[in-house]
Amino acid sequence: MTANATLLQQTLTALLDDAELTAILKERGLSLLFVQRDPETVALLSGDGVTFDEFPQDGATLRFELSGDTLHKLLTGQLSLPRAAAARLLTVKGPVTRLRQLGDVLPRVGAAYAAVARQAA
Amino acid sequence: MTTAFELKNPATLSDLGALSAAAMPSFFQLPPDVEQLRDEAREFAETVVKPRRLANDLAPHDEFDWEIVRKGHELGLLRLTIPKELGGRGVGTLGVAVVLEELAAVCASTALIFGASLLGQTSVLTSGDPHLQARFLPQFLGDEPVLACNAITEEVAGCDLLIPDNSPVAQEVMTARRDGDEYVLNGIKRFITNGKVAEWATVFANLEGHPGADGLTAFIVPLDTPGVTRGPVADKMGYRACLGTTLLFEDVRVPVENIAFGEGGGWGFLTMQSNQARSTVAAISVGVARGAFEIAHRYAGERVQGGLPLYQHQFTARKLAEMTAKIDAARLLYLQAAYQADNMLPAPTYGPAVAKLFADRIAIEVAEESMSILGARGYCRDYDVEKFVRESFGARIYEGTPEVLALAVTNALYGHRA
Repeated sequence: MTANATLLQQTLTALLDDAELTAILKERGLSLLFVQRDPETVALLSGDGVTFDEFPQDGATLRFELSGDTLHKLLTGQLSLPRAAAARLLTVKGPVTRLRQLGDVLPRVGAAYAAVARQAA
Repeated sequence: MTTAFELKNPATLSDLGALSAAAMPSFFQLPPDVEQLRDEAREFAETVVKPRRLANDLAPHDEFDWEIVRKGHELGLLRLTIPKELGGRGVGTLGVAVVLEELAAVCASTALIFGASLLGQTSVLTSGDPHLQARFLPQFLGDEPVLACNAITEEVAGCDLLIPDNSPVAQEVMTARRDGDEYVLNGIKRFITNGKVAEWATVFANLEGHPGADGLTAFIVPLDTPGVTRGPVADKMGYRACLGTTLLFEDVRVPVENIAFGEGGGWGFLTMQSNQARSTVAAISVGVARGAFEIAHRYAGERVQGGLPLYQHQFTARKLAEMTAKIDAARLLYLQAAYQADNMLPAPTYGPAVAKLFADRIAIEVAEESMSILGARGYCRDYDVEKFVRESFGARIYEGTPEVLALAVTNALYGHRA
């Protein structure tokens, strides 16, 4: 299974309601740019919410470039970020020491993803 | 005529601080916290390491100076890369590289003691594994200094383990056999820096039945585990204060949770780790070159021949100018590579390989020229240059020989796995 563009958009949109998450991102000054390949989907998750496609791509703290399959495995907990990077399944651009700050962020995204996927099924 | 006295401490572009003070344009301005760390490391090197370096160099090959490590630990050098929220200093590859240059400009052996320990920690740090981090990182935060090490090299498989195309045919590689919830390690590691004194090691072994890069796995092994024997210390021509040791593993049982990056994840991790290591070893080579240069620079300002200080003789002036250019160029390469390692995951292999290839070579060239400028004095122990000459050859071997680095560079150029 892969994280298709619609699913990713729905997941990130659902996160707009997660005030705690956006507060965390704002407090830490974190913005995450996801560039999913095949087909390319671009989404920015930040303390200001979620935006798709139309925004300056060079302002994000961390930029993730990955396939839909890798994104699916990351969001479902089948794969960790370090192992994905070591296996060259994704590229992270930005200060990589800040990846540690995602320890409690990615599980929230994963939970939203699981909920959206359940509804879609 | 300019006197030698006035030239004792002129600004040199070999000093990043001088570069800033001279308002020279630079593509690379160090972050303030790294600048501060550099100054602390420089003071540590001058006040703690320098007074002990000759004695440590002359000591028996298997003696270890824990006092230097203890003082460095007080400064936080053993927890440089541990995140601040966990009690470390929270710097990345750039900070480590800058610190190691400062230490190597006084004593490359000391730089390698700290560098090898930090390298050993990278498996635990970058794995993101909370179990491994809770078990193996707090040791570096206590009052007593603790060292780690990284065990790759084997008796007949050194470079082969670093070349994907060679690794399937590497001879007698350490194996890991699964037995229930444990792995059983058997094999021999050679020339492991800190192996004699480290608390634990990141050990690379091939899963039984899976030779080559795809089976390579990184295990975190406490070195007091039954079956581990610390063997003889290599009697080296340089880097004598850090101990390169044989480690024997005979039916060593390691729990499966001590694997970093999963089964078969060792190769991918090794390439990431190599990018960091090559950047920082390039910095050590720059430090060695700088240490030798600073002695020659001072001497050429004081030594008068034919009524002129040496530096005013054109041939020596040319040598000094070439040496500074080489050091500055090598520094920019390692800073760039370290910056990439801190800002890209996985970082490209090209930058660190080129940085190390170049820095290792110029370290030898600069050290040799420095010895030449000092003449007979350069050949004597009292002037320290001969130590830098011996140490300049060391970094050309560990963390990738020029031949291995050349393969990494050309593989990157031609799009092969490197």
